[in-house]
Formats: sequence, structure tokens, C-alpha cells
Amino acid sequence: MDQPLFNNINLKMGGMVLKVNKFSLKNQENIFSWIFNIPSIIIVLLVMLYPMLYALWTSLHRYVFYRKTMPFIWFSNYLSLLHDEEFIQSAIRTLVFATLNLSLVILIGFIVALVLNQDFKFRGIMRALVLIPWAVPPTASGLVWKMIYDPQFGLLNGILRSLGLIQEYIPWLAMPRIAFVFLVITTAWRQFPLVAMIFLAGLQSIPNDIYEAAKVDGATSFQRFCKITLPLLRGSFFVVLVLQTMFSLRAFDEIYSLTYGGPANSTVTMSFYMYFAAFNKMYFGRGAAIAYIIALITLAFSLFYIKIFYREET
Amino acid sequence: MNFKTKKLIYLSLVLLLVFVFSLLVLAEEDKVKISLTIWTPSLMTTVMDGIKEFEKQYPNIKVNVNDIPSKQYADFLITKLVAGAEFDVIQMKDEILPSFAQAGWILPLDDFPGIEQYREDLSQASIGQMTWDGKLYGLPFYQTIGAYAYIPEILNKAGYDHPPKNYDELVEMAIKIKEKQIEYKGKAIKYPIGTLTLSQYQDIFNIWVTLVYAFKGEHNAIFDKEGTPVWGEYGRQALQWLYDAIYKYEVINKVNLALEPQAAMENYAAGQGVFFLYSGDWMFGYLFNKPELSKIAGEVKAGLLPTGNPDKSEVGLTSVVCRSYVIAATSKHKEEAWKLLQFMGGKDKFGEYNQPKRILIEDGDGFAYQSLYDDPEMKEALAVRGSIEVWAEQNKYSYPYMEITGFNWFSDWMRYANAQLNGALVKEIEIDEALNNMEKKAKTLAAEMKE
Repeated sequence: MDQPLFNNINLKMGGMVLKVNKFSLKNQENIFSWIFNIPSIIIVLLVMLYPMLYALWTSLHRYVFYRKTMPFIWFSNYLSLLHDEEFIQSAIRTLVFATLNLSLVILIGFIVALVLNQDFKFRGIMRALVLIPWAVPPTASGLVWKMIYDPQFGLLNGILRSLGLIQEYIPWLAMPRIAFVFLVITTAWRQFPLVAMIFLAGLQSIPNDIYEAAKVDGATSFQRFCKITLPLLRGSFFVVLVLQTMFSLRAFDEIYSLTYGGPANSTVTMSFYMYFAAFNKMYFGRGAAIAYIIALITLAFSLFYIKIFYREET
Repeated sequence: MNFKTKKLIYLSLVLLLVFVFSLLVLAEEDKVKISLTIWTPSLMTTVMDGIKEFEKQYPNIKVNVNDIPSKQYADFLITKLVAGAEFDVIQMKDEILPSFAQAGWILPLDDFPGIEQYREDLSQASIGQMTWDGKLYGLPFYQTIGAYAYIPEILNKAGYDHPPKNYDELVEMAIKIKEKQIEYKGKAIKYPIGTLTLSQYQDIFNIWVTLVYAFKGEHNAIFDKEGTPVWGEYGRQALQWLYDAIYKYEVINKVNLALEPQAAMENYAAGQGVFFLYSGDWMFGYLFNKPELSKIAGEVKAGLLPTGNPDKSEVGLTSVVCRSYVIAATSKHKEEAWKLLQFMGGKDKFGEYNQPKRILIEDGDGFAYQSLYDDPEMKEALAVRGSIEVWAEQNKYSYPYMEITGFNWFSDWMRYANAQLNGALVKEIEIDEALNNMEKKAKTLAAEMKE
């Protein structure tokens, strides 16, 4: 900004002196970078910023599909949720779900990453195979697990019965707490490969020299793990925590295909309740308000993680 | 023929082909294109055949079909209609018709030419199902009522010569069949009463509603005309009956609490039960009496719904559900849409009830046009449901489903009610608590809608 866009030069033509602005190279680069970036900026603004602002605007209105008017009601949609028992229950359920899901995904993902980081035969194939659950569309994964838990023909019942652990087939998804736990397992099954890959990338970026130096200094495997591996994976943990918190808070597809919120609403999370508010009740404004609350909670968690990780670094 | 002549002939042929192709394209372009949006996979063949026939009868109209899965149907329409998307003819479910009509997304048919002939022939219950604020919005492609299914052979083995007339008798018979370990299709019957699924879908609500109407024995058993909950003690009795049948008498399999809707019917068709509560008339033609799909084909019969209150009604009341075709307000070709709507839900160009008849004959669904009861082809097709007299008698004890669904807060309340009813049956909450919650929710939603 401190450099002028054009520098003046004088051109002598015959008896005349013509003043011409010289286009500096740096400014030329600036302009080109703007020209090339503007289309993508416009696209980003259109497809991301516009819907976000529109959702915010919607959340401030009484937007009910079958009403002709759409009055501006400030934060009433948000405030009404504070008195909505179903929403509060779904919020609590979401936090429990996110905690369980996050713990399970990190645990499995980390163990798998540690195993895949070892040198063994067919390691490449194993790394590719581990990614399969992540490639399965969430709705399809929900349907596959639904068949596994089926009360009449399900694999789970079949195995338990053949082991003599149950006498007759059990309708697992008719039991609220078990259905909730099975939902966590189903979601974690699809999500752990991504986490494993992030940890694996982190593990591979740790130089071997450090481990060797620690070995020479007499550090045990456990000490090497605690003093080298874990601290140097802090970046990966941060990414995993932010991403997984976001995924857990927004979980929808598996719920839709596995339990549809049942039994007895025991698997209705905030995002699923948002779907009910918008498409069942047709209160689009309230649905948008729930979406913003989910976004704000995600943001709060992210800031919390940043604070913790930064504080440790400083 | 020299090379030049050959080349000329080939070139001429290509040009001719291009010309003919262009003519065809132009002819196609000249046609008025309208859309038909449906959710009914089970009727797909009949619908597609119907469209071919319609396009023959009206060569200047081309119909494009949007087939949407049932579960996402309402969501799909809502998102599209809110965005102002253009539709022409839409299949409509009774439970969402009031909201769509109130939103102005569908057109009343009262001013369309020839509507009176349909009004005169339609059953009153079906008119009630398609009417909002005094205006008729659709023509039906099927109307269904419920009764229950039973297998006389098993009842005879248990020593009964008649189906149960009330719910106490039903339980008594079921217990006896269970205790006697009567065999059917090579297996002892463990759970004599089959039901629609009791998981958190609309079916659990329909079963509870059927029981409440049976125990109360009169119309408006769930809500009064203003939408105030009035089930009272009968609601509790109904839910308690289901609870006891599952846990106390063990005559309903608790697996039903986690079944998909289709699976519950298939279990019965596989010979796993004696009774099936609550069976729509269409289930007989669609599944129970289809030999290629059902082990009980030819052995199952329809019975009049048991009463829970003999002083008020000798037979349990059944709801009339009516699925219809409507015209979207965004349609730009209303005249052509009206022709298609009549063809699919009423009469074709030659004055025949083409699709409503095909839907009974090919797919086993019911119909709403009274004159069709005299049609010999229809009489023959109805035989698949067992006794025609039973259905005619049950029809006398029917009420329009709109008595329950006709409030703009209904679909959200039903979602909540499904969860509460399911919660009571999976022992998550007490029966009284579930019913109190449902009552409170209905009042809250009604008040919210008035704001």
C-alpha cells in the first residue's frame, strides 16, 4: 500500500515531453493475483457466506412454511429453544454422544495408527483397507449396521446365540441405552480411519533420530511414548479434536438410517432435532436457530482447544 | 454405380435421417411437458403403464415422472416448493394435505370443469380426507380401511369357531393358542398376535389410535373438533392393553418394538402369527394373499375389528385413509395437469376409472368411488381380500382419518406421540407420563400455531 501503483516517467518525443506512468512489477503482481482470485472469492462468497447469512437472517424471523408473513422477531427463536424440553434433552444427548464418540474414535484411531506405523508385511495393503469404512457413505453404513443389529436375522444376535450367551434374539434397537451405544459404535466405525490417517501422518513426521537418541540415553519404550510420541503429536491431536468435535455435533446420517431418533427419542441429537424442527414442524426459522447454536458450540470448542494447545506451547 | 453416385446416395440418406430426426425432435418439442411426482414404489408398474396409456390418449402431452422415496417425500416437496420450484401433479398424503393447502402450495379443484361428477361418486370419508377449509384439493388413487387378519384353521385347532369380537376375547384366544403350542407351518405358534411395527414410526400411532377408537366406541376419540385431546382414560386403556399383551401375556413378540414396517407384515405372511392387528384392506392383495410372497395365502381371512366398548359400538372403528393426486399452485400447465390428475385419480378420456381400477386389480389397494362396487371386474378382484361382506360391514364403522390429522400441528405432534408411545412400550417412561406428555404437547403446539 505504501508503494504507489504507478511511477511517473518522462518520455521525450521530439520537442514534446510526455508524462507516462510506469507500471511497477510488484503492483502488477498484486493486480494479477487479485484478478485470478476474484472468481474463486466470488464463488466462496456465494456458496458459503450467502447461505450462512441467509440462515442467520432466517433464524431471526418467524419463518413457518405455510404462513404468508415472515415477521422479524429478533432472538425469539433462540430464546424459545431455552424453554423447549425436547431441545434441551437433545443438547445434553449430543454432548454425551460427542464425548463418547470422540473418545472411542481417538482411542481406536490412535491404536490403529500405531499399528500401521510399524514395519510389517502387507503394511501398504492394510493402510488401504483401513480406509474402507471412511469411504462408505454414512447412510449406507447405518443401513449395514442396522442389518447387523437386526432383531430377527442380525449377525450380532446370531453370534451371541451360537456362543450360548443369549437364549433368544434380542431387539437391541428397541432398548434406549443400548441403541444409543450402538449408534456411537456405528458412527465411530466410519470415522476412525480418518483419525488413524491423521495420527499416522503425525507419527511419520517424527524423526527416528529422536527415538534413537532417547534409546541411547536409556529411555524405556513407555518413556519414549510419553515423552516423545505424545508431545510431538500435539498438532495431530488438535486437528483430530477440532474435526471430530465438529463431526460428532453434526451427526445425522447414521441416526437417520439406523434409528430415526428412536427408541423413545433416545438417539435424537441436536442436528436431528433441527431436521424435525425444519421439516416436521415446518418452523424453518427455529431450525436455522438450532443450526447456529450447533455452529456456535463447535466454535466454542475449537477456541477452547486452541487456548489449551497454545497455553501449553507458551 | 460409380463412387460419386454412391457418395451422393449416402449423403442423401444421412440428410434424410437428420431431417426425420429433426422432425421428431420438433414434434417432441411441440408437446406440453408436465411433471408427475410420486412416492409409491409398490404402484410403480401400474403408474408407468398408466402414463403410457395417458400419453396415447393425449398425444400432445408428455409426462415426466419424479419418483421420490416415501421417507423423504414430504421433505423433498417442502424444500422444493419453498424455493418456488415448478410442479404439476403431485401424489399427496392425507397427513400433509392440510399444511400444503394452508401454505397455498396446492390448488383447490372446485372450479375445475367436471369436478361435480367425482364429488357425487366419492365416498364421504374420502371427500373429508381431501378437503381443507371447505375446498376439495384432490382426487384419490386409493382409499383404504383397516380390519384385522386371522387364520381360521388355527382358531379351529384351538377349539374356536369364530374370530374374537372384543379385545378380552382376543387375548384369551391368543393365550390358549400359545399354551396349547398349536403348530402352524411346521412351528408352534409362540406369539399369536402380530401387529404393525411398534417402533418409532407412524404405525405405532395407528395401532394405538385403533385401540382408542375401539375402547371409546365413538368418533373423535383422539381430538375434539377444535383439536383438544379427549382420549382420557381410553388412551391409557389402549396403551395398557398393548403393554400387557407384550409383557404380561407375552402374546405379542417384543421384537416388534424394533421392526421396520414392512418386516412386521412379512413376519405374519410367513405364518408366524394367528391375528394381525391392524390390517389395511390393501395388505391382503399386496402381500397376505399373494402365493408367491406369502405362506398364508388362501388361508387368511379378514375379520371385523374387535370392540373394546360393546355398549357403544359392536365393532371397532376404523379410519379411512385416502391417498390422492393434487395440482401444484406453481404449475404452468394447469389445463394439462387437470387432464393428468383426472386420468390418474379419476376418469380417463373415455370416461373410465382407469387407474383407480388398475390399482385394485394389479396392486390390491382400495378405492373411493362408490360406483365401482357394482363393477364385475372389481367384484372379482375384491375376492382376494376374503369376504367382501366383512369389508362392507367394517366400512360402516369408519371415520375419516382427518378427524385426527386435520390440524396444522398434527405431523409434529404425531412424531412426538410416536416417541412417547414407543417410550412407554420399551419401558423408558410410565404409560400415564407418556399420555400426559402427549396431551401437553398437543396443547402447546396448538397454542404456538395460533400465535
